[in-house]
Amino acid sequence: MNQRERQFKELVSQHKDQIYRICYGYLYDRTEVHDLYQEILINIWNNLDSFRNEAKISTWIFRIAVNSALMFNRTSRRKSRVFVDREISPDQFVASDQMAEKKSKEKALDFLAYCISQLPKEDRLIIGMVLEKVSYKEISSVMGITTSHTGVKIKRIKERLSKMMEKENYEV
Amino acid sequence: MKFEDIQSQWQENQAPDEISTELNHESIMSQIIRLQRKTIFAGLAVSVSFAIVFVAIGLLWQKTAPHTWFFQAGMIMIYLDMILALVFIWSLVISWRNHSLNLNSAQFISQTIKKLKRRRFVNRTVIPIYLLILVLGINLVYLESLQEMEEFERLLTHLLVSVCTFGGGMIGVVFGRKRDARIVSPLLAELEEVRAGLGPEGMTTEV
Repeated sequence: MNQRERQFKELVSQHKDQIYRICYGYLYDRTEVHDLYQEILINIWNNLDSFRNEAKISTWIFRIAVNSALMFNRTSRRKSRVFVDREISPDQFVASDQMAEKKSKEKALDFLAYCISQLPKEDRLIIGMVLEKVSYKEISSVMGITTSHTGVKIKRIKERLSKMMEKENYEV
Repeated sequence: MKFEDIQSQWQENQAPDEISTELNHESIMSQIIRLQRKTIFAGLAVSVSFAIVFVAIGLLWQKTAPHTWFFQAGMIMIYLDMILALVFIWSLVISWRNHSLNLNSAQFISQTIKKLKRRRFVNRTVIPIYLLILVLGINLVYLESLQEMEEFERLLTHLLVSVCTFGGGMIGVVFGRKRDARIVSPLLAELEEVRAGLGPEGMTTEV
């Protein structure tokens, strides 16, 4: 195994869960999450040369993940805008027997993922990083927006999510 | 539930086992390397075949000299077209590694929008011009080469070559336009939407 392969393997094993959660928060649909996850790994491999040690590794990984997600609709695998056009009503989360069996924590998280999938693309990615406890400064560096604007956006996203979840008696 | 609790719980979500099994590093790496080799091999194959055609035409040009000015002009046009095609093919091979993905999203979106618009311009404007030059070049060469043929046969050959070359190329352009309408235009619209969503100029650090 050469150095490049070793570096790739190390990066992915360290960040695979974060990458997966970014994909899940962004797409919600689990089958598509797999496709996006794979695409991000391919892009990480292809861009390994662009990683300079002076940059924070997590910032670099998030940039690749976020930009790959933004381009994801280009692939022929996606036939429609699933997240926006998905015909899922919040009632399903309450009425479904399967959901009823789930613990309230899991149910809340699943519903949170659903609510996130209803946000505009850029907001989905920003809140995905907020949930990863990424600092405002790092989020602004990934998205290319000022730190103060990042703060304003996060506040608005949280308010919006809060309203969506309150409807179903979940609090954020 | 507090947001901090949600954050902590959210992080309990882990990449499922099946994703790790299906997408294990070795299989992804071997897939990527295979694809890279295939792309480079395709570029090399096209280059070698172009080189053979280059040399063959060059020898023919030299051996059948002297030539009329229109034959020379036609040959230069064909050569320039081939060089242009070769540069375009290799630019696709080289840009296969998308280095701009490590930029911040505002920069990445701006660059991608520019690239997509450029691609659309190439398909809609450059390729038809390229085809016209190619057809003109071939016809200029044929003007001299077919001098000894009957007028009707010459006319028919010019017509057939023009229709087949230009028509065949334009079929590709039409398919390209359809692909653009299906993939590029919606993507451009979505990227413009995301760019607008990131905020007005001054709030982004896009350079």
